[in-house]
Amino acid sequence: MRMDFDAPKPEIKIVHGKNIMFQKVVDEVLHGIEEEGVPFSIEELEDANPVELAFRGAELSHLGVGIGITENEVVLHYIKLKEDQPIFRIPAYSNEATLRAIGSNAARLVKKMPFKNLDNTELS
Amino acid sequence: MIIAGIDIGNASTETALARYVDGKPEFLCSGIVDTTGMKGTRQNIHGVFASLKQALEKADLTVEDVDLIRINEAAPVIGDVAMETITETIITESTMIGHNPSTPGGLGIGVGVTVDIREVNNCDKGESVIVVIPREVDFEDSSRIINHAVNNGIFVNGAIVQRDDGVLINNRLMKKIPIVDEVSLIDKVPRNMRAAIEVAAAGSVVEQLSNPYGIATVFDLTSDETKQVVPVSRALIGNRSAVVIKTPAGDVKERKIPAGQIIIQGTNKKAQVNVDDGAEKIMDAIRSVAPVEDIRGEAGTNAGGMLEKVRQVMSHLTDQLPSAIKIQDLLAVDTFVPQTVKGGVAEEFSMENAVGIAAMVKADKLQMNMIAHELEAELGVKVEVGGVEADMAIRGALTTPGSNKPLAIIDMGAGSTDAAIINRAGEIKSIHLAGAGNMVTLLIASELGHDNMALAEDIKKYPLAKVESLFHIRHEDGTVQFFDKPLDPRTFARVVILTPNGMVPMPGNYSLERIRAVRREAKTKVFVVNAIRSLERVSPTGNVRDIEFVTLVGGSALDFEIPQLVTDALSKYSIVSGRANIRGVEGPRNAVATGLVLAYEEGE
Repeated sequence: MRMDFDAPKPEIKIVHGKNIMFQKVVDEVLHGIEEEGVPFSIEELEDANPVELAFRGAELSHLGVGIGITENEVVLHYIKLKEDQPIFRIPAYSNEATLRAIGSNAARLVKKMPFKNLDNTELS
Repeated sequence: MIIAGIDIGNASTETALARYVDGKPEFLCSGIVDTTGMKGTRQNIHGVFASLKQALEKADLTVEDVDLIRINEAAPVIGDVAMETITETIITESTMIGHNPSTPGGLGIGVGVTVDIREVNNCDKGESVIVVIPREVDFEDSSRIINHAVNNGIFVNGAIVQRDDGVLINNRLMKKIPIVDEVSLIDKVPRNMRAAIEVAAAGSVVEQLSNPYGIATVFDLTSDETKQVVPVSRALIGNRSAVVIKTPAGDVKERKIPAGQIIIQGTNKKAQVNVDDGAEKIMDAIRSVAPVEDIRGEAGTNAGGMLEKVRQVMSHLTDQLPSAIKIQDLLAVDTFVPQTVKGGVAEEFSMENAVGIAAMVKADKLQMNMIAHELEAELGVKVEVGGVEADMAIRGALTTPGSNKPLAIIDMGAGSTDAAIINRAGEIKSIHLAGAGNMVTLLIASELGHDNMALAEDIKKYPLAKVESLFHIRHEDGTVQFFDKPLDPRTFARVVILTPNGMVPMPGNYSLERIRAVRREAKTKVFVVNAIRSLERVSPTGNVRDIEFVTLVGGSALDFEIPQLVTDALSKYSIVSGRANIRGVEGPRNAVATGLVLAYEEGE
C-alpha cells in the first residue's frame, strides 16, 4: 500500500478483483455512492474473497467504509466490525436498484442516515 | 377461607387473592391479564378465568380452594375515541410538488414549460423548458439529451425526475440546473405547462416558492391569483426542493369541512357548539351545562357521524337500542393530522386541523350480574358483585404506605379517567370522565400520521433513543449507551423505541425531539386536563385547591412520565400527589381488586 503523507482525502474505498468482467456491477455501486454525494476511490487487488476485499477497503478508507466486489458478490464492510461479519452482502447478479442501494448505504453509513432496504422497499 | 377479588377494567383484568384468618385478610398474590372483549360484556369471562388462574398458580392453589369470588360492580362506563379532520387541502389539476427528496440535484431556481425529455429536441431554439424524466430514461441518457439540447440553443432550466437520480444527472451536465427527483407519480405532472423549480443549497430551504409573492413573480400573477396560491406556498415551507406548475384551471383550495354542531343536553340547560370552533369551546360548553345527560351531533355532519359511530359501537356491545345509549362525558382535544393532499403528485401532505374526541357512555348495570351468574355456573364457586368500583379503588388506594383519609384518587385507565374522594367520615364521592390511555394512543397515531395503533401504543409506553452508530445509541435525555455487538442495520441512524423486546425502528423522518414532543403533549392534553377536570368535580367545594392528597392508580399511572406530568401540574394547586403503591408492593395496579377483598372484611 502506498502511503500518502499529505492529509488524506476522506473517501469510501471500493476494492475489486483483478481483470474484472463485471464493470457494470461496479458502476452501479459507484452511482449509488455518487447520488449520495460522498467521495470514493477504487482499488484493484488479487484476493478473490469479497468479504476480505471489503474489509481491506475499510482499512484503506479514511472513513472506515469499504466495499468488496467479486464476480459473485458485493459486500459492504465497516472498520469497526469483526472481519468476518460485514454489514451487508448481496449477490453480484442483483438488479440495478439493489446494487445502487448498497452503494447508497455505504454513503449513508458515512452520513449517518437510515439505510435503504436491499429488497427494493424503503422502510419509510 | 380464600377470597379472590377480580377487577374487570377496560384494558386489564386484575385479581387479588387473599386468605382470611381470624377475620383478617392475608394477601397471597395477584394476577393480571388483558381484558377479553369490551368491559362489561360476556366476553370478559375468558379474561377473568385467565387472571384468576394466574394468581392461583402463583399461590399453588386450584379453583376448588377458592371459597368466594368478588367482582366489581364495574362502573358502567365505556370509552371510545374518534378523530375528525376539519380542514382539507385539495388540488384540482395538480399544481405543486412540495417534495423533499433526500438528495435533489443542482441548485437555484428555474422556470420553463414542462416537456417530456424524449421530445425536448422538438422544441424551438431559445425556448425555456423544464424536462420531465420518467423511470424509463436513465441518468446517462438524460444528461446526454439535456447537454445536446442546450448545445442546440434550447434553455433547459430544470428537471423533474422519477428515479433517485438527481445528483447523478447534475454531475454530468455542462450547465447546472435545479433537479427534483424521486417524484413517484410523474405521469400526473402536466406537460406543456409553465413550471418553476427551486432547489436550495444543503442546509437551507426554498425561499422563492415558499413565498406567495415569489410564486406571483415567477408566474406573473394578479393579486387574486396570488391569494389562491397561499396554500401552495404554505405547503412548501421548510422544504429543500419544490416544484410549482401553473395549469390554466389549476387551483389549490384549503377547504373547511363543515364539521357540524355538537348539542349538549344537561339536566337543566342545553348548549350547542360548533366543532370548528375547536376543543376549548367544546369543553367550555360541557362545563357550562354540567351535569351532562346526553351529547348528540347534528345529523348529516361529521360531528353527528362521529358521535353516532360511538353510539352504534356501544349499543352493539351492550345489546341496547342506540337511542338508549347516553353519552355522558366528552373530552375534545385539538390536534393536527398529516393528510395526503388530494390531487398531489409526489404524495405530498399537509397538516390539517382536527378534533379528537373521547366519549363516555353509561351502560347497563345488569351485565355484571350476568357475568357473575355465568362464572358461578362454570366454576362452581360462589361469585358476588361487590361494591361500587370507585369505593373499592379508594379502599385499595388507602393501603398505600403514607396515605390516610381524607384522600382523593385519580384512576387513569385505558378507557376512562375516574376520580373519587373520601372524607374523614368515610363518605365517598366519585366521577367518571371520558378520555384516558386509548385517547393518548389515538392522538399520537394521528399526529404522526400512522395507521398502526400498535406502534403508537409502543411510542406511548416506552422511551425513545436515536441510534448514532452501529455501536451506540443516545437516549432522550442525552446519555449515551454503548453495545458490545453491532446493532441491527435496520435501526441505523433512526429513532428507535426502547421496548422490552428490543429496539423498534420508527418509520418516517420525524426527529426524536418531535416524536417526544407529540407524545408528551398528547399525555398532557388528556391526563393533566382530565386530572384537573375530575378533581374539580369531586372536590367538596368545587375548587381543586381544597383537596390535599391525591394518589394516582390504574394502568396509565404505571407510565414512565404520566405520573410526573400530573404531579407537576397538581403541585401548582398545592396538592400532594403521586403514584399509589397498593399494599406497599403492587404499585398503582390492583387497587380495585384489593379493595374488593378488603370490603368483605367490613361485611359489605
